[in-house]
Amino acid sequence: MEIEAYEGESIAAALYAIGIDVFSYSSKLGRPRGAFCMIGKCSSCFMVVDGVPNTRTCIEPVRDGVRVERQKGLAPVPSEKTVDGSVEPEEVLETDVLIVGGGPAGLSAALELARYGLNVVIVNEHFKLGGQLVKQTHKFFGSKELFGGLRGFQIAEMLSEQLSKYDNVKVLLQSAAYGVFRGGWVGVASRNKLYRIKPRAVIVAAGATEQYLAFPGNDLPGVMGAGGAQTLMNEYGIKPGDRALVVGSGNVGLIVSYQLLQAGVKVEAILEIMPQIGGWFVHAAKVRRYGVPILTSHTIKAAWGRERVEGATIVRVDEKFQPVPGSERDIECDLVLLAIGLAPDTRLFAQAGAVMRWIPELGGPVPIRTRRLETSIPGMYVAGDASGIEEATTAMIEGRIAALAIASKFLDGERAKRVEEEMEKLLDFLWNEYRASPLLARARAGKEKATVSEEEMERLRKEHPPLVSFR
Amino acid sequence: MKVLVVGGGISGLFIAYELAKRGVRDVTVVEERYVGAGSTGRCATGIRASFTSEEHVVLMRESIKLWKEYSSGDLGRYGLQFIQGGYVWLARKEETVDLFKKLVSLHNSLGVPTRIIDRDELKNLVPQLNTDLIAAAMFDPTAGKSYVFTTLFALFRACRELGVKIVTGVGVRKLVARGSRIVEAVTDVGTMSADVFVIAAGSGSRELLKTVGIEVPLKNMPRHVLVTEAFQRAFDPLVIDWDTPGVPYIVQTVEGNFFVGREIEEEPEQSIYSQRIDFIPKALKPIAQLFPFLRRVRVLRYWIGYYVTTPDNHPIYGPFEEYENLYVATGFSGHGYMMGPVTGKIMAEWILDGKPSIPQAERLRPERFKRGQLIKEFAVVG
Repeated sequence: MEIEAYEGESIAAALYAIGIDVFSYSSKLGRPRGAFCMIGKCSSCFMVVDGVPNTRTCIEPVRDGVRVERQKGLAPVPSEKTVDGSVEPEEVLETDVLIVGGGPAGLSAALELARYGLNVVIVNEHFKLGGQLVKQTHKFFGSKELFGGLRGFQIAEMLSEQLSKYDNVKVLLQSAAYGVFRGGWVGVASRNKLYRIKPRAVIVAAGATEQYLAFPGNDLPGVMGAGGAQTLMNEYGIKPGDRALVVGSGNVGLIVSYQLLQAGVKVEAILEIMPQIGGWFVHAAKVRRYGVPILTSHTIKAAWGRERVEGATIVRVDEKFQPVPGSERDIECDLVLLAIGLAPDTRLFAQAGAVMRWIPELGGPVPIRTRRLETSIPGMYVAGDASGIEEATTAMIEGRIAALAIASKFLDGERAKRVEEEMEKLLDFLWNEYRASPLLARARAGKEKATVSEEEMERLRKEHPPLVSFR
Repeated sequence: MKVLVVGGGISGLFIAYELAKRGVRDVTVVEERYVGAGSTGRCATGIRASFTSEEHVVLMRESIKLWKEYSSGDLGRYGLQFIQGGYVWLARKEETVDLFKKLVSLHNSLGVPTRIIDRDELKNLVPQLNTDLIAAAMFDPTAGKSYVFTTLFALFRACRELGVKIVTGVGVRKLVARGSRIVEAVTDVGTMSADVFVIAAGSGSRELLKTVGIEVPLKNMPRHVLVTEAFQRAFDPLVIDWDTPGVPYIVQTVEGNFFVGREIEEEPEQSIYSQRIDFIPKALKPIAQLFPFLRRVRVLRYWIGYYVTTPDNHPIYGPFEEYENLYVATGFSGHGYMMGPVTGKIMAEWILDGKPSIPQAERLRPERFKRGQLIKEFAVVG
């Protein structure tokens, strides 16, 4: 079948738009699988693309004549015919700073470093820069310096545009930093090429992944992360379904529900396991005015359907979050969106052997860091959601702080002093003003737990000697 | 009789399993981390008898018999699988074919039916192989593989069913001797006494034995292996690229992933958590030359494990002269997993019968280093 698609669309989005739900059948039980995260963080959208199996179609752009096949279980090994000769030799690169992740934190960091004349390489898994800003259609709060009044995708465009003016910034799209290695090397895998990068400092701003929930049928096409549906609607203009059930009433759940309504999707209900709504009143009020029921002390028990969700069973829970027998109710829907939180993507830190700690307020294990965002791996910094789930504005501030902390080391004399002052100003603003908002209290508490003094960090390094260093 | 086995890897578990099966009621395995956490869980799971020493060939011939027997017995019921897919030793050079011919006659004389195969037969066995680069190969049809995690799980269950106590998360820090006997082991949580102590602690064995004045010439050598994404079954044998330095190899696991390894220069005792960026291309380049499809395959993970090596690349087996109730099974030099079943059998024989039923094992006692009776083995892979 020949399919038309818009330029700049992902293969997964183009297929979803024409009603193809099933991308693959699972390897052991042959269960249908479809779109889930839509940002390259899960394995739900694997397909055979131009003969190469296990390709993440949500971060693979459409192109003329590309051949896409549904993957049924494990694929056979690629045939000789598909093994083209376009693999380039590995390239060794040296740079001042390597930034992993081209979202709000990574782009802000890159701009700051570029401005001071430092060489930067940005590695970005998606074929577009901007991270999750590209699907944020709401206006940001705050001052002009914080991009107040602009919408997320506009900020992404602006940052990318500004960055493109610097020739000391190298952007590697569709590329993944696959590991941190002995001697301070970082491996990067691009589509047809490997890079061996030796940076003087690294900022990991790899973002977050959507949390998952265990219930029968949770892998059916149509069960999706809330962010996955936002990508479809807000980035690609695709209506993700007709009737939705949203699990989780935090801000993401409430906002996605409102966006579903705007896209013409009927929201059957929003479920919240806690006895009260999680998100802000302003967002809850908006969806309630549309008559969307927000069912507190409720959760999903199962999703059902053949090759796509046809409905879900919901259940009331008691004060110990246990299902109340007999309170089950079936809701017909073709979309179940999980909006139950995010987990920081800290895999590179775990692999590098950084000292980490599980902090529930931040969504999972995160690297311990100093105020300047340096982790126990000397010269390896963290910023944005990877440092603990917060939101885009703080991600941008953290990106700049990490960049300035690095610049203050690499520059000398008067310039270093100026950079240091600028960083201190930002730190002061972040901790004493921006995060003073009660709306950020939880994240702030988490970030306080993850932040230690320089002396404490030195002690941690003695206790857990780092196996790799970028300094 | 009360036996304390130090080390919850493949050797320790098989020793405990054999002892318990032969009626020893009180067997405890004490493991510092979790079952299989050391070299066992990091191995590439190949099993073969095609070695170059009589000791290895005979012991592994017996081990393979046991792998087969166990996979259809109680361990098999708990998931242990032995897949007899064979080993293929590739010769890129003609002179290697001559070497292989000599090895084949050694193997055959010891009852292991290896043979030389030509490129056509090779293509049938391993259809994805680019045979243009190959002169011929040696095929070991008795060899195979067994997925390490299902094996460990099966052993763990079977041991527990037989009444073996498996204590995990407890390290043994030191042994205490009184006269010619070991009396207790000092652990993180107190002391443990026993009538017989068996050291099967892999990379931790050398330091532990030092605590009772025994020096064994062990070195912990970091060895690297990577695993790719999973595919449908492509070929069964483990394939060894003998003529490339570092002897790269590839094997498809039961789950469908490919393990690829190659020896690269390393210092002993280097941390196994310090990965090297040059390993991946070094391992994959020669193997991708042989298997072009690998150029379109993603690497999922890469890790390091220790080969606990001896000067002659043979294990250290049996009792010590210095003590009457201390036994050792370590120093497998990369072959501990495949030797697991025979290790269990002969160690149980040593402890219960006073000597192993396989005479070749006697030559592997720890005293051989003092006496200069080293054994030659040059077919160490990975």
